[in-house]
Amino acid sequence: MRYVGKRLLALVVLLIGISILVFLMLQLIPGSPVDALLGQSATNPAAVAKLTRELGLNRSLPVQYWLWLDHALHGNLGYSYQNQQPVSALIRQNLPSTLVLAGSGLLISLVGGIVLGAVAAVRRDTPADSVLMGIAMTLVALPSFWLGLILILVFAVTLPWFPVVGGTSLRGLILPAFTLGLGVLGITARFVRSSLLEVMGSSHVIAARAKGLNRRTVFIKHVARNAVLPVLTVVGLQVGALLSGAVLVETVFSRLGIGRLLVQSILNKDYATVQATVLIIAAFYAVANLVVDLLYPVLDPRIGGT
Amino acid sequence: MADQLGEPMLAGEALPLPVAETGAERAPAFRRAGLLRQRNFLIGVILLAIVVIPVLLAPVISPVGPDTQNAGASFLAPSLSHLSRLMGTDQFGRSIWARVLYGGRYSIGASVVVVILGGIAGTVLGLVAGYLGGTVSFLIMRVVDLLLAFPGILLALGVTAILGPSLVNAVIAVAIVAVPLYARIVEGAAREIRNLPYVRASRALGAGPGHIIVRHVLPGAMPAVIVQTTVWLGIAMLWIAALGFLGLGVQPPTPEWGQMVSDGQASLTIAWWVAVFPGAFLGLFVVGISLVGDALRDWLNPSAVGT
Repeated sequence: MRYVGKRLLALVVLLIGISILVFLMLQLIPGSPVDALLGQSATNPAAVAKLTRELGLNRSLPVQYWLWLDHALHGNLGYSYQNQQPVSALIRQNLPSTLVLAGSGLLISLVGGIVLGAVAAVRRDTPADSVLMGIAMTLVALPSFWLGLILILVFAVTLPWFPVVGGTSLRGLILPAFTLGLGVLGITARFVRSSLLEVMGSSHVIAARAKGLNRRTVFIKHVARNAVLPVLTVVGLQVGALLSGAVLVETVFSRLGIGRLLVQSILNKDYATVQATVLIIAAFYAVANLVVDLLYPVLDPRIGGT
Repeated sequence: MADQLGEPMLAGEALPLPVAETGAERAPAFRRAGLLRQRNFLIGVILLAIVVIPVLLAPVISPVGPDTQNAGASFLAPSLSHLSRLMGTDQFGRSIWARVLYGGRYSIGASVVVVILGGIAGTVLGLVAGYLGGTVSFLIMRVVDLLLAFPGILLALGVTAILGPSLVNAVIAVAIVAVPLYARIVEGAAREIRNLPYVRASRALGAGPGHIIVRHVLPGAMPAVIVQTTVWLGIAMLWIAALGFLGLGVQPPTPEWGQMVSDGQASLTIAWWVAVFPGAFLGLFVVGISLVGDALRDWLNPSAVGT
């Protein structure tokens, strides 16, 4: 339990740090925060006065932060004057689509990465290994937005199997999900391969082979089970890669989502929305990593004992 | 060849390096001599040469400039008839070949500046935190942790939102993302080196912290810095390109590979070549630099100290 408590405490500290940084972002933008938040509406003195009072701009910075945090924790993330609606409503409209995309991407990268990495590890130092790892490295190195365009070119333009612009339909999800998943798949594959190789070289596996168990049994019972833990680590890292990849993939496919919302808000100088989306994505990432941390002791009793 | 493709992975995330250095895969010391004999290193160098040499020779091998428009020649398909048509033309009749070559100067140049800025700032912070320890180290490393809490490109996007879209701001944004990653790796190395016998001996002889950091700790941390820099050249290029693609980096008509891909997306269905070639060059460069980085990593084996 002490492990869980320590992790939770670390998460709270991290979230406070993130919120301070996101809060300060608005202070760093040239000009007054009110002008930045109101955009064109900043010429309306009534609106300026109202927002100044709401944000507590005539008070000290810590008080302003506290007011902002208090609002945010109560679901009030500000008002997007460009979109003429509360930011929280924008987030609600966009977040599910991103989660579906990131979830499908994670699934594709895990299934593909584990298969690729496992085959490469079993066929270690053969041409098959080199080819598979070459593919993995190339997938990591290719820019995802470009890969997305190539997939559109092949599977939506040349072969008209999927829509060019990813709608909300399931068919519209396939190309974006593969674009996102393939980029991350390479990381998974290399991680799976090296963690499998490490386990395969350990003495209990050699002992299992020496007592006459066949390769297959050894692999399933002794290797694969012990390689799960490092793969869990990579899932934690992938959440970050998937979230930042979603920003690009959603833009390529003009797909509804929080990543595209962020990019549009930056371009429109809609700072209330920028602040909120950055906060949500970073908080989501932090929580996802906490979940991964908490899963470790479940899978490996050696971690988090006492 | 024990390890064809070792770890550093271009996720742009803070990857836990220790996992990469599994005992089973570590290159034995006698392979230090054979950097040039490693197949990955050679393939990487060849890929880099294929990209970098034409980019450097752009004025020589491109018959037209990157901004030369030709109203009568829009969206011509790639053809071998004339060098400027090798990769076709865009909607303004500009030669994609010329734009890819000249654009490479922005893409590669920006990535180099990113690793120089981010690398120096991060290394200095890491050295100070790792060597001095105590409160200074605690404060620096908590800020580093905080910056690392923002996944991948998110921090760069946040910085761009503050600074506004431009090439210089994109470089600053990506360099800021690189700082905590350098700092963490160098800090680990420095913390380990400062307790090594020769460093303690130097201290006993009366050497000050400045002298020890520059003469002993920095050289010890260098292998890790070199590997990190190779990996980051690729990541920096991908992210500069990503910002360019999103319209938050290089602004048209300046050719930069990411921005060119974005340009080409509009005409993807009628002229695939406008988007495909700049992205392909970008991909070649990043694959090449990753292969070189992997080989260097095995060769320098930076895990011997720190990380």
